[in-house]
Amino acid sequence: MRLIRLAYLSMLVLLSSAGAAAQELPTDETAPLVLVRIIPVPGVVGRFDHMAVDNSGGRVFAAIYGNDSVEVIDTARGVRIRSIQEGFTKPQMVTYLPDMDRIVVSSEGDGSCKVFDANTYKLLDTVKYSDDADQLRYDPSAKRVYVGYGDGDESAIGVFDATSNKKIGEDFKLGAHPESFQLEEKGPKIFVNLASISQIAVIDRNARKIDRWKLQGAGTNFPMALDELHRRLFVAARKPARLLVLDMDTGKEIASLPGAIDTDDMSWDPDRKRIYVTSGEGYIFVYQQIDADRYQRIGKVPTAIGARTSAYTGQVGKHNSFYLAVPARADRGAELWVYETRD
Amino acid sequence: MKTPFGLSLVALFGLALTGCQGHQGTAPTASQPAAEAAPPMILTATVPLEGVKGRFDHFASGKGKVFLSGLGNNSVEIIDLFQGARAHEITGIPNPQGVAFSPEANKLFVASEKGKVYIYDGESYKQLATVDFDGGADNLRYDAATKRVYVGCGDNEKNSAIATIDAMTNKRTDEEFKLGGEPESFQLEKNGPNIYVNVPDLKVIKVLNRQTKQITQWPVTNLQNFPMSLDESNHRVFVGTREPATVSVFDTATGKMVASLPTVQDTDDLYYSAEKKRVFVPGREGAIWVYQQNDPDHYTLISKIPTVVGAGTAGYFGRQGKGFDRFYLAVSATSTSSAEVRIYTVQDSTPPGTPSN
Repeated sequence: MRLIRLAYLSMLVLLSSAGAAAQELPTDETAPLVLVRIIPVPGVVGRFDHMAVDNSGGRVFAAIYGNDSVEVIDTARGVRIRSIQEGFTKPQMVTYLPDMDRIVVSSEGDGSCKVFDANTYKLLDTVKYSDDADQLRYDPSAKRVYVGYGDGDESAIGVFDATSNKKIGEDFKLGAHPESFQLEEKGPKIFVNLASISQIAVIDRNARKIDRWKLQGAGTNFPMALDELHRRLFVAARKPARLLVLDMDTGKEIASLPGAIDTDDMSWDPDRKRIYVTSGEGYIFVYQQIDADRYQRIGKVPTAIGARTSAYTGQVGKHNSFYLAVPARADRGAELWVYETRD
Repeated sequence: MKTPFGLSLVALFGLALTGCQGHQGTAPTASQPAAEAAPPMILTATVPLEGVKGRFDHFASGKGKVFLSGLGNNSVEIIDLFQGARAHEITGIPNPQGVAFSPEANKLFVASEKGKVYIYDGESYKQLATVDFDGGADNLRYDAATKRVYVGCGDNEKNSAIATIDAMTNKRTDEEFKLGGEPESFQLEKNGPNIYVNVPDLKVIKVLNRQTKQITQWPVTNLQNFPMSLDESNHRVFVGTREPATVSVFDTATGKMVASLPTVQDTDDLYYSAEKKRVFVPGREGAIWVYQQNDPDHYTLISKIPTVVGAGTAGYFGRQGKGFDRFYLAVSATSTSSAEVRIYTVQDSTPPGTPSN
């Protein structure tokens, strides 16, 4: 009998640790993220790629790579309000330009960046890159959009002016496809993950100089986040799965912690001094920054298999909402899960 | 949430029992999985296949797609790897089994149990031709060097053979090897002339020399040898047997069995990763068993990954796209959930320089 009881208990443990189940388990009162809303995004098939958040308007824009669409979700009302289908071929990212109320959508298939009025959703312009336009970042102070594009020798970060939608200057050639990159706000640098060669390129926008840091111990680095206050660069490596903390001035590895598997997005929460990493294995890993050099994983929040992409931009309305894209599964359509961050 | 509870309760219970035996003080045996600190693969995505009924049979890959034969649904499901969604479905193929893709010809080949190989355009999926095979066509392999599709065909002593289709002309060639018994999985050597064929009815592995046309055979002592994979650099053939359930390893130079390990019940696919020195064996019992190749003659069972009862059809094609290393598992519809393909991310064998925290 004891054996059977033990077996039963072990089974319960196994079941409760199965990631995707947890959404219907009782809330863990100490969890750093609490699921507060599930917004259906009906009719959307395939993989979600990266999202943008309109903080003042309470909208989330999601590039649906597998559906050739951009879905616009009104987070206050909890409904999808628009599906933009303007000839995208494998759209990979949306970025929101708050000062101009525009969105830019990058596509892998034709290397285009399509610029839309975010009020009327009318296509305003197209900025064309050679191939595989992927990550986008907006620098509101200079009104410039940075675009990671291309494969192999073609790979670069390009720049275009957000008012004229014209390319500016020469592109920063990288030699390997740029994955996530971050613009330094209080300095001239751009940090770029070169996942295929496990390097970080450090671009000086003023001096037009590019340094390279070779990652040690872990690579295939896709997501990235920046903590400029403490001069720290966070990178989620996939092989092996690690969170790496680097000194953003020297490239020195400050910390390395076990990471989530199959990560595609990470966010830095400067208010709570936390890092959120979302992964295809169905967890959000949450790390606490104790001080600039010390980090601790404080949560492993079960989500859903394949929920790799997410966005967090701090306070939206009265909420500190963290958005997670959950692709369609058997018998259940695609959804946007909304979490509240919590102390 | 159906997904996790759809996991085989039986398999979970089995694992739970294994854990308990440990608590009871039972010494671990060689066949028990080692510490699961680094699972060899992790489920990271699913692709729903709504409306697909019945059992799946085999996978193939090419041009950023995976092709999956829906044996019970008379269809081939085409999944775009990067979009993570079904891109197309070819219907009206009676009991499709093996699938193969020729990048050179840009064609998809589908073998039907009912006696034909169907040939489709690799872009539009329009049917281009059919080729008849007496006694049904089962497994297909594509040889890029000769642009030929090898077809395991027949169902009796007389018509059973490995035959060939020229992928460019859609015609049968005169290259054909009579086997005397129905072929199951077979593999083409890339760096040599041989084809290795499981012929469970005759309790042998047949070795076909494509240059000399000579046929030799090795007897098997573990019976019902269905799936097969090759490790050419170490001259090894891996065979999944069902009676008893083993992974049996043969030396291709001598035909001798050099290792045999217990494996999951009811196997129909089996893959070897040369890069990771691992053998992946999915079984309809509801688990994927993973072995580490210590050397060509020694193997250790390192993990039993619970899946779903009936999920015996898998595809593994090594690295693709941006270096993604995925393992595909077909899961049939049940009374409460629709069919899906589960996509696992294959982990490295020995993570370099991993700190222990």
